[in-house]
Amino acid sequence: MQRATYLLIFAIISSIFPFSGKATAATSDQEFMVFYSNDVLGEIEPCG
Amino acid sequence: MGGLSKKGYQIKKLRDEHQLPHLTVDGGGLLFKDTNLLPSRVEQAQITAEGIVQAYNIMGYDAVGIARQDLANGLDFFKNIVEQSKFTWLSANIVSKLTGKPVFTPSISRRIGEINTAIIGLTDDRQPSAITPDANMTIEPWQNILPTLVHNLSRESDFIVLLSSLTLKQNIEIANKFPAINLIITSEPNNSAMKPRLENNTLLCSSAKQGKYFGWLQIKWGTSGKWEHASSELMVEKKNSLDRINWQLKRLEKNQTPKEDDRYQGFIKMAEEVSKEISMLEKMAELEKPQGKTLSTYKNQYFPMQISSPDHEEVLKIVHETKRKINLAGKASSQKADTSVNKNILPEDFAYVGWLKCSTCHANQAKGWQDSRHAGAYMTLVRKGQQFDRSCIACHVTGIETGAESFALALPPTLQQVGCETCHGPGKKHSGNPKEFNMASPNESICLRCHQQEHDDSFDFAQDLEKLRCTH
Repeated sequence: MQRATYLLIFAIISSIFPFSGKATAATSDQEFMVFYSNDVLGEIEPCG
Repeated sequence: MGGLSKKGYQIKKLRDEHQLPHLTVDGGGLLFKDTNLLPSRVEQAQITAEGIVQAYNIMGYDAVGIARQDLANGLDFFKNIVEQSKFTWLSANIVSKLTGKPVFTPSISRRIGEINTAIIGLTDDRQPSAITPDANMTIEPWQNILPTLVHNLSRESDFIVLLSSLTLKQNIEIANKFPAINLIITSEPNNSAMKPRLENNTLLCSSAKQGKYFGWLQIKWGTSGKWEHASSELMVEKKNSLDRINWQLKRLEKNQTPKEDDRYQGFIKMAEEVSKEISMLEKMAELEKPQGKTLSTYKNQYFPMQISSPDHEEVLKIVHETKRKINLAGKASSQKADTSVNKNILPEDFAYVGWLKCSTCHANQAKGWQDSRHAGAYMTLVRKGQQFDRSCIACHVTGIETGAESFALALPPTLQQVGCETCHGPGKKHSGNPKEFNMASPNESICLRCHQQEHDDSFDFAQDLEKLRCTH
């Protein structure tokens, strides 16, 4: 009886939070931006 | 790098215009130029590093990779920098020798719109002992770190970014072994700006050296979690190549070149080969398209940090304040070199005599030189309040080598320019006995001590020598 209860709870939780291997597995295309830089080299302003 | 306030302005403008979720990252190599700091420059380099961090805080950076040169001033200073940073410094492979665990944050997660993103940092491990001899730290090869880390992160992330100071070759190897890593921002010092490169399921991006450009990616992340190769740079390149070949063919036809002509046949053959390659790429793209799911696309653009670009006001204030602090620190630490305090600060074998001495015999040349920008080189620093900036001074006076900038304040006024002896060598012996000791003719390597690309990208030895009127 107890085991069945646990299984039922697990089934309900799984249906709400399905485990897909990937976190969100978005259902539509997602647009976003990445700004990137590198190698500033510590010079905050050119000389003179 | 005078571009921090320009970069701040452009990033804010693009964010405001597009109103899209975003991530702002830096591959590393942010704080210092080299892995070893010259003792004479440590204090000013620290002030610069702190200024950069403040500017990055204002610009809203999310994460920065730790490159070896970021640790050049020791662990304690770097930990202090980490505390001052509102963004996260990342390195998964700098580990404690005692515990084997990462010393710094290995990765972070960010939610960008509906996307769960993980950002990892990797530090160049080519000279592991150079930065960590006494800190009980070591830099592990990426092969020891990435398999477990990527496996764990890929279970909870839709998009994985790697900030890497490894070599391009290593980054390509990583891209081919870990398709779960979707974007690598590289910061290898020897690698300048390159077009984004798609390797397997990883996009590799790098902006130009010295922060002269920043990159902006607009990404449409498809439900398949895979990049579309059909829109890749390679495909675009092949299509452009085919356009050029067809244009050549049309030109030959217009000129009524016979079709048996070798050039015509050569272009026909090239067009066939490139068409085959395009067709193959299209088939590959079709094959990799999962049923019912969309592939991901990107647009990349580089922004140059031009002087004419507007400034981010808050960042500009940080830049000005940092410059002021640098000059003050240089002035304070150079007091001992002041001639009024210590007249013997210059080395005993100091062999420079100054332009005025030269002019007694070479009046015409000296007059021509006085009209050149070399004659006013020191004053440009004074006008900008940078005459005590040790990273500047050696190239604006005569007789001061890099690393010996503390002598700069001891120089007499006739050496506070880029004078005759900068190009021709010290003149003490020659001025004492001109018949026995000749002066050297300037060569390109002398000019390149200062006119390096990072300071003067239009330098041309032959042309610029002509401009120096002292040669006439």
